Amino acid sequence: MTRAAALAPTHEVGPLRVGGLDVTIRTNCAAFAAIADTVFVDLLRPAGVAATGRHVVFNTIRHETPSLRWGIDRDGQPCELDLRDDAVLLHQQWELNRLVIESQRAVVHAAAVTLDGRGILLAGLSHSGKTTLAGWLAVHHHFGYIADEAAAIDEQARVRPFVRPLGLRSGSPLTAPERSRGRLAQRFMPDEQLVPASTLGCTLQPAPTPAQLIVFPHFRPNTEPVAMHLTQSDAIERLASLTPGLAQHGATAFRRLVALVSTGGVVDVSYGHVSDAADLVLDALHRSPEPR
Amino acid sequence: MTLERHTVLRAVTSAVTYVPDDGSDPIVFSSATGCVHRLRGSSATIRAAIDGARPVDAVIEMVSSIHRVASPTVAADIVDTIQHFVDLGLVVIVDRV
Repeated sequence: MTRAAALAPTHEVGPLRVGGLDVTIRTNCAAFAAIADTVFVDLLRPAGVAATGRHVVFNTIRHETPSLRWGIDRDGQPCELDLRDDAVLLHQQWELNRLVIESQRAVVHAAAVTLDGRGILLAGLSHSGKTTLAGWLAVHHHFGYIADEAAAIDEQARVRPFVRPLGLRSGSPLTAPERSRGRLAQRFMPDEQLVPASTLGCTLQPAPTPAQLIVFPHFRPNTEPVAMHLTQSDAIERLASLTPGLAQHGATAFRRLVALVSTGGVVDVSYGHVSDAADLVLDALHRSPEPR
Repeated sequence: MTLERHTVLRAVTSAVTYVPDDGSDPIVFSSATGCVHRLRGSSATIRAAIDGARPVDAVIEMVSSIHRVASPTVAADIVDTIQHFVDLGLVVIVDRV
């Protein structure tokens, strides 16, 4: 086989639906295609749903160098050229997050879940515990799973679905199913596992959902659980710092954040165990005002 | 640019002000910079007094009256705050009499 032939994509994953776009991941590696098929299963465009006409193609190519490095391009434009086996899948996920951020006007670094049509935005920086809390609420309290990492807010202050796999790190109280911990998982995600929410038993929420409660979680080991209600000013300040496109999308994005905080309650939750945080969120949800 | 007592300023049109309905501090968003600014305490009153018609002197009088303090006592602080708004690009000088 020639070098060019070896680098040509031979497998496809998708089409996925990400941020209102159709996305296909092409690769020259059967093993990568298999693991990507598994972890991105919840993002597949549902059967019978028409294409959007806006199609993004990633080429995720393993180079046959001695160190077996990977490169990713998006529509022919290089994204990353020197990834190892244990980073390529997480980077591919990051590129999907980036698509959401770039294609939507107000995207908050947050997870989102819903109960009885009332959405909850769990906003925070990495390692604040938002993914674990969202997964816990979905698995143990039957919340619907809306989004993680990139929660796009529409013009009606609803959270748009982005049912990406949950990133579970070592020591997470959420346990990945046995089939998610096989040989391919060890190769492509030895440290942080990407687990489709559906395989954890979560119900996926396919439609935009009004956010009735905003929670800023703070996971701190050995911390007593405390919930503190925040003002709308506090909420706007914090959400602005978690909205990467605010400078680009300007007043439109800011007004969506304003609509978001004007809709319901806002609470800061510090906790040492996710089950305590879930109890505090449930309590806050019951106390939050009904939809206006 | 140094402010003078007769300087008139106005809010920039690209800034969006949000006044929360829970009574918490107003927030100003600058489209030019993408930054949000929280107007704590009297800074909200000062910015509200900057209406494109009042000179700095009148802003000082109005703010000191609302907060019931003698204007000479707070004049320097108010001017500093207005200058800070100018530096942040939230207000601009529109006229000099």
